[in-house]
Amino acid sequence: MDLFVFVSGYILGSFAGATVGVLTWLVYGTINPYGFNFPTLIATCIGESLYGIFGGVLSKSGFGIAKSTAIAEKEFWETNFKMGVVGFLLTFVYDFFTNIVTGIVFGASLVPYIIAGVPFAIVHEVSNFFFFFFGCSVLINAIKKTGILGR
Amino acid sequence: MVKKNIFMWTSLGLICVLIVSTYLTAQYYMEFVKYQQLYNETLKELQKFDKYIFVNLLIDYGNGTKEWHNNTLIVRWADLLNATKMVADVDYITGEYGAFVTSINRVGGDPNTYWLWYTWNSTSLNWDFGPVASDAYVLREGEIVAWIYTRF
Repeated sequence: MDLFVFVSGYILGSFAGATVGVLTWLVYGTINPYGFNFPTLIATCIGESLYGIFGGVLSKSGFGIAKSTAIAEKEFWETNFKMGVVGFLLTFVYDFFTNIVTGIVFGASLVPYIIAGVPFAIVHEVSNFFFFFFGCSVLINAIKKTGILGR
Repeated sequence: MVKKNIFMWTSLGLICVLIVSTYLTAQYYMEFVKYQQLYNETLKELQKFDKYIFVNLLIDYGNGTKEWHNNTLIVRWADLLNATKMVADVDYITGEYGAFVTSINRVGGDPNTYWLWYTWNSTSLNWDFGPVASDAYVLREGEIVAWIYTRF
């Protein structure tokens, strides 16, 4: 989900990316099998929109994606690594932010609450590193090549 | 410019590694604190048992009915009479040589039949006759003792 929001921002711009992030969480957070919690939903919406916003900012700042997705190309792997790092750091910010907000909402002490979320955070951030590493540049190139966005 | 770019991304990659390391450290520290707390609580629980011992008591009614009270928790330095009173109704008289049990669980008083006690000898694998009155015999941890309703 995070990867798709980021790619939306990268291709369509920060505003569109943030909108995709907010809308995605409005759907998922409303019909969440673990229950609905409004402050948590707001926090996750804001957190998720960061992926889109940052995707747009990265695109605007001239951060290029490797044109070739051939595995023999060094540039392809360099881009993948950079995207993996971006995915990891954005997920870190997202986890940190949402943990703080849910900790405040449920009236828990913040430090133990954040530490309690560490096992999930590790899985979330490391998995996002790999999702961004393997998926980001391929997805962006694939969408660009379809030509549906007119770019 | 290219060099600077490499340094920046390497640094960012190392920051990711640092974050994971910090997470793992925090996680293991919390686990350490949790298990240390559990260990201390267990020690406290065990200290309670320092004042108690476990013994195994057999009551043999002489008619084929045998009643085992295994792992009976008694106060350390308790005598056999008090330990028996914890698991059964005991009547006794006190004489010159100490307590003489007349009935256990309302069984007793038959002619020429008496409640005698024995201790299990784990070396010879035999029941040894109780050397003193039951109120003068201090039980030890894990000891196996028997009350046998014996006809003469």
